[in-house]
Amino acid sequence: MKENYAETMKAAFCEEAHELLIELETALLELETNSTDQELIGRVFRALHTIKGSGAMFGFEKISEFTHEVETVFHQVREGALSVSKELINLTLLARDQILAMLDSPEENEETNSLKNIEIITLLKKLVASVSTETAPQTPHAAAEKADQPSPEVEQNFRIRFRPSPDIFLHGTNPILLLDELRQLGECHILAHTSSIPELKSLDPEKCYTGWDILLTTNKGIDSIKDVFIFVEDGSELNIEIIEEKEKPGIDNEPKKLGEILVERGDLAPEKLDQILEEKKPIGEILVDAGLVSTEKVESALVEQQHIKETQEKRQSIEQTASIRVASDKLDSLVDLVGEMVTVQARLSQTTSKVENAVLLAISEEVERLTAELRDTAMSIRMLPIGTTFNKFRRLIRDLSGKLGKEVILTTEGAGTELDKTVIERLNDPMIHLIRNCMDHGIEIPADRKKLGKDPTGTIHLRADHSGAYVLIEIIDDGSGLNREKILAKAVEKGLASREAELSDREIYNLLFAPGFSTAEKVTGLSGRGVGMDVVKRTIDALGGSIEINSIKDKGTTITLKIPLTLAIIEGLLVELGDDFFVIPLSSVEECVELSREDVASSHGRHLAKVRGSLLPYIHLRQIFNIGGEAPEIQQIVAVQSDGRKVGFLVDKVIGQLQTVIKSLGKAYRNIEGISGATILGDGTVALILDVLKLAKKAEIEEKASAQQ
Amino acid sequence: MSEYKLKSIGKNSSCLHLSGQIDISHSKSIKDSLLSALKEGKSLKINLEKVEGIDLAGLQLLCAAGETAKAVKKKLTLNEKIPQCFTNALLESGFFRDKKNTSEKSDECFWLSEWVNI
Repeated sequence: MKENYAETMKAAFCEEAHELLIELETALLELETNSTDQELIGRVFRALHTIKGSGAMFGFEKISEFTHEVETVFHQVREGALSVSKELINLTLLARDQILAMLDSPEENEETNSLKNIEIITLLKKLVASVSTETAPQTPHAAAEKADQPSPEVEQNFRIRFRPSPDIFLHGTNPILLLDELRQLGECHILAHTSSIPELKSLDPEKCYTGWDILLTTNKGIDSIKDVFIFVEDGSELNIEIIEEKEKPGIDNEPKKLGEILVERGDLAPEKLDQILEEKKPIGEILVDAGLVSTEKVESALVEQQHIKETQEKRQSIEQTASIRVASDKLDSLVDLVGEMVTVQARLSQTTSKVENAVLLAISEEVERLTAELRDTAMSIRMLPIGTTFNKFRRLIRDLSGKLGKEVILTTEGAGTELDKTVIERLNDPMIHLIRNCMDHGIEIPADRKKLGKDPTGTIHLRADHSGAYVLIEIIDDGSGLNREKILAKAVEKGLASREAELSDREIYNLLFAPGFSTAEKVTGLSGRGVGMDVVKRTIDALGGSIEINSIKDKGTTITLKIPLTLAIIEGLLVELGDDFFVIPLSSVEECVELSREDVASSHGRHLAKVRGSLLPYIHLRQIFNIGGEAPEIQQIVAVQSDGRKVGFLVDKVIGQLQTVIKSLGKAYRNIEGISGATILGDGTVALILDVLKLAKKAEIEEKASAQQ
Repeated sequence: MSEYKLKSIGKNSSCLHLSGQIDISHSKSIKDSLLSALKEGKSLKINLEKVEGIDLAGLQLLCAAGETAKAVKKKLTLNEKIPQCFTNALLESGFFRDKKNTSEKSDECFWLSEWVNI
């Protein structure tokens, strides 16, 4: 049990550390451009500091030790003794990678790891030494002043006792305005002490007899409170104290009171207890009666008690609204459950619509509404902003620029666009590949760019934007653009296209996605092996998305990825074939047309239909799925867009549109061609989801084979 | 225009009408009218309906009046109609007491806020 706990803690640390490393990387890269930004330096330092601290706590001593060394360097940066240089950023990024490596494989390569550690640390130390001899007498003042500043984040409770000088009115000061200033500092309870006010006849109406007890919760520190009273200090009594809070406040930790225990045990009737308690006087009253404290003091103490309680409650509620960490598989199972729920709800709706019962109908409608909300909420929990991925590419581009001798900057737009977590994860590799291609083939070297009159620094722009149930991700470079002729020549050479074929730009660009295609004149370590683009295409297809390339010579290339918001839900078109139901993803559906028996007869056995004067090839689904029985008199063709071409699917009947939760088919059926998943309909029947792309490809191959025969 | 009028409202009781600014610049005359009002009858009601503003000095005066009434065993009350500026002044100055924090035996100007429903 104990070991388990330790393991969980370690896993939590790893997760946290990964996040911190991402934060560290982002901050470092930003620091490179804003090398004097104190806040960024602070961010780097804090990330390092936290990794060090929690690393040591969870038994990652090596990481902790190593990070400590790096942190020491950044401590100097923060103090102003060391300035941020490109070299420092380089080394720190290396160190960051090293921490990541140690984190991911703590035991393996221990030796190489520690060698590398020493190497990095030596380099860092060298850097510090060289710089500190140069700029040793740097302004330590600025740093010292910085350090003296109180940390402003902590909220503190203050007890302020203020008794102004009796002549305060004569100085033209209105004490109430001072109280107003205090209120602006934070949550404030003010209690006036009036016991010094004499009877009328001995009262000098121009003197101040009132004093105050003030409870203030603020994060601005004691100095800002003192500032409020700065002009009235002479002759006034002012006492500011910090109220220490108990370590763990809250009702949970409070032991039960004796009376409560007696009542719980049944030894005492609750009414009796209340009665006794009512008779008993509160401690304040007892003390006042005994003449030990004045009523005023008791009141003030009571106000303090309440003030502290209120601020604690407030803080607790703030803590409760803050985010919590949840393992992603828990989320996955939540979404699964919600999926089941949606299915059951659909069945409920269908059943109640048959039974004529108003009450039941009302309940069913309520369940429908709630389920829809539940579904949307569950989905939204899984959504992550795509910005985290964008930040990863910043590093990639920086490193690649160095290797390729090109100057490239990354600009992003729409980093807040949210996508399903799984989708984001799966997008990572294809995006890396596409960006590498941009860097390698797209953007020219600075000298060439100058010749063309372009800015020697190339730009890669990443843009994400919502478009219905999809997110459009664009990778835009301002490089040389695609060379149409070169692509065509290569495709002919590889036998992917015929020389005579008249191909549109789009068809030519699509050739890039064919397996084994590569036009790079030389194969570099980055790209040009021709294994990438087809994999990219396949991954995007598997996500239910599409990819499109647009290019203008010497102006640049735009690659657009259209990705569904979520993988868990599909907008589909429900169709019927015999007794079975199928779902065609609505995203690819273009139109539905009718096909009568006469039409079939007139096409002489070829699967072609005439739609508005042009021919539409269609796939006979009844044949493919071996569905017996007679097809109806009038069938329907669902025309879909697949790989830039239009293909029809012949079905008995189109039932309608539905939004449904996708169920995977399980291991045994995973590799069935033409089916990408399944879904459960309202009445409990299973409907298979068609893989439009694969079916079209398969039909094409079969067609070719039969033509050759 | 600040005015202070004392009217008799039946046997042994009178009402002091205060209006305008109850502040430090008028404090001396307010003190005098309060003193003379407390000399008469057994109970005194103070009507603040037409008060346009009150400052700390004004609040102190009312408190002192309360003390004096207690000393000479007279009943001192406020008219039910309390202007908003008076309520605000009680809150801003910390003179207002939350009833749950106050014991009834309070010998201070608890009566000031007792009549104010906030």
